[in-house]
Amino acid sequence: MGVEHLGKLGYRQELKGNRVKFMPAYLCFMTFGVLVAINKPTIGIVSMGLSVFAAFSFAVLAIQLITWAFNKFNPDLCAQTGGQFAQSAVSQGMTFMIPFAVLAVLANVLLGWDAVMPFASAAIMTAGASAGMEVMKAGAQGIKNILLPTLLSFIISTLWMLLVGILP
Amino acid sequence: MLVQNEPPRWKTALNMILNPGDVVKRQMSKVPWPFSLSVSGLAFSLFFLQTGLDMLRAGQIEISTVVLISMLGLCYGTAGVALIAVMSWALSQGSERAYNVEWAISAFALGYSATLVYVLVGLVFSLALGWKTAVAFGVTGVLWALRPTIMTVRQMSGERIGFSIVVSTLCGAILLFGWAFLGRFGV
Repeated sequence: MGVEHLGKLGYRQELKGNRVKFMPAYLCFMTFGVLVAINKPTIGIVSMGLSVFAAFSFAVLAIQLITWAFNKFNPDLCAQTGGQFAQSAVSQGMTFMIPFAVLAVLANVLLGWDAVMPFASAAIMTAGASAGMEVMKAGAQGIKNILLPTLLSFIISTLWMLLVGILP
Repeated sequence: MLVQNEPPRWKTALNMILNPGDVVKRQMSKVPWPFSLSVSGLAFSLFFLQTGLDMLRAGQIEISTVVLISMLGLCYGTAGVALIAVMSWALSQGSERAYNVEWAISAFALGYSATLVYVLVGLVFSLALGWKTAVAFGVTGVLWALRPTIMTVRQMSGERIGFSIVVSTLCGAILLFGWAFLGRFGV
C-alpha cells in the first residue's frame, strides 16, 4: 500500500518545484504580530508598529538561524548545493505555518479568543520540524536535523512570547 | 528468514508527535485503526472532561453534565475524527489512490497522540491545582495535532503541499470550532 511513494529519508531525492519563497512565512509572522497588537487592552499605532516589527524580526531570525544550523551540521550537502538545500527546506517548512495563522485569525474574529501565542508557538515549531523533514528528504542524515530546528523554534517562540509580555 | 520486530504501538504513537512524516510514510500500515481511534477518542474525552470541569468550577453546569460532555468528547474523538478523515481521504482521491480509507482513519486518529499527552498533563493540573485547563492544554493539544494532519494529507494526496495546507486548515477549523460550539451548547 503506497510502497511506490516511500522516499528514503537521508537519501537525496529529486525535489520538484522547491523554489525559495519566504513571503508566506513573513506574512504568517506579521499576521500573528497584528493579532497580538489588536488583543492588547489599548490599540495604538505605536503598539501595532512595534508588534508587527517584532514579528517580522522573529521571522528573519527564525529563517536565518535554522538555515545556518542546517548548513553548519550538513557541511557536505552545503558544499554540494551551495547552501541551496537549506534555504529550500526552510522556505517549504515555513509554509506549514499557514493553517495556524488562518485558524488564529478565525478564532480571533469568529470566537473572540485573545490567545494568539499558542497558535504562533505551535506554528513556529511545526515550521521548524517540517523544515527538518524537508532537509532529510534532500539527503541530510540524522534525527538531529529534526530535533535541532525544533529546539531553535522553541527558543524563538519562547523569546517572542516573553517580548509580547513586555511590549506596550 | 529474517524476522523484523515491529515497534510497539505506543512507541509509534509517540513517534507521531516527533516525526509524523516518517510514521505516515513507513509505519501506519502496521497500526490498526481501532487502536488509533482509541488514542483520539481518549484525547478528546479528556479534553471535553476538562472543559466540563472548567464550567463546573464556574458554576455553569452540574456534575452530570460534566459526564455528558466527556461522553460527547468520546464521540467527537472517534466518530468525528473518523468522519473528518473520510472527508479528507475522499478529497485526496482526485490525485492519489494509493491509500485506503482505513489507513486514512488510522493516520488521522493517531495524529492526536500529541493532544493526548497535552490533555493528560492538563488533567493533572486541573485536578491537583484546580486550574482552568481546557483552553491552555486542550486547544494547544489540538493545535499540535495539525502537523501530523498536514503530513497525513500530504502523503495521501501525493505530496501536494498547497492541497494539504488547505485541507488541514479545514480539518483544524472543523474540530476547533466544533468544540467551541459544543462548549456553548453544554452551557
